Amino acid sequence: MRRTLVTAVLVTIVGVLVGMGIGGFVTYKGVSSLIKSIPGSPVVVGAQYDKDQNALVLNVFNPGGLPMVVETTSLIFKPKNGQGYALANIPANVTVPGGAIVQLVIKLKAESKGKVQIGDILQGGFTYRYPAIPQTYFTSYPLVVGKPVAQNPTEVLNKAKEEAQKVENQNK
Amino acid sequence: MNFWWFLLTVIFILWAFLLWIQLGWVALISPEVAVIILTALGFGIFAFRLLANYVFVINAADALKENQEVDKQKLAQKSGKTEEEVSQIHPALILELILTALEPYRYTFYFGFMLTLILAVAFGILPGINPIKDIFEAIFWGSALTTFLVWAFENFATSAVAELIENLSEEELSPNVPQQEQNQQNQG
Repeated sequence: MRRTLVTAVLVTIVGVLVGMGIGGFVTYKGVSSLIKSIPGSPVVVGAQYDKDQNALVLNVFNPGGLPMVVETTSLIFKPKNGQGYALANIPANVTVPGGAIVQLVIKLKAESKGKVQIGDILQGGFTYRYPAIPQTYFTSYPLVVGKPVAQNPTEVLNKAKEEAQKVENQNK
Repeated sequence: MNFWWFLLTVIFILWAFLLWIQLGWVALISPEVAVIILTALGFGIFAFRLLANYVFVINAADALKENQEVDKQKLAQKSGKTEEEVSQIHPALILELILTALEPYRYTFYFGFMLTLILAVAFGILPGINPIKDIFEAIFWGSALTTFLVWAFENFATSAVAELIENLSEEELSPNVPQQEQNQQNQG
């Protein structure tokens, strides 16, 4: 009798472990496929003014799972002294896959070559869409020339996670 | 083998075919869950012989504990001995023989499970091939389901027979040669 009871206990323990394993695996696949189907707002992780190309170079990171199509780019040039200008609807058909970084090059007018100084503001923007979603989004990033930005996308995501946890703790 | 085994095989073939042609309601399940069910059914076809014999052994051991009779013909058929030999030896020993006769099938079944485990770990370590990693892990969990069942039944059957044998005394276990032959030997 004791032997059978020991067997029963062992079988129960191993059964619980196998159940946990299978359940965990199925839940993980379900949740990760759900997360992959959420579109994410693009995050600009790098911005600088390239003198040789006379262009604003933006590194755009797509944190979500759905691929993003950048349709047009635009630029607002606000120098410290003098008059600025705005460019809009420059076509650019760039696809950013989920979790990838893509470089966008937005060219200034040819007459601005050599005249961009430290302290001028270059505001680069772009419109983007997602497949199967009929909406067009727009976002922009203001860059102060002389203060280039270069961030690590994982750091950006970690900071966002910390902020979200702070908000959750406050709400408790 | 028998009706239930054929039913299991038919269900497996049906499920595999539905997955192959990706019929609508089967596609509602994620591919990993579908592969888990498929592998569990597939391994179940091969585990059927083991499970059927283990269930028979457990039932026979329970019957012997209550001092009831066990079907001699089935004992003979499963252990490979003739009916005459079966009536001479104590049924508990015949049950032990049945368990030993299952050994090669048990060995190959655990080998099949070990293959799925090794493949799942190997593809899990390789970087970058995510869909293949998921499918092999799903195959592993499906085979783990069926192997857990086989392992549980095997342990129950072994413990039942072991309990039966350790509770029997020496004279009950010695071969029960019919009285006529013994008298002839004494006279001869």
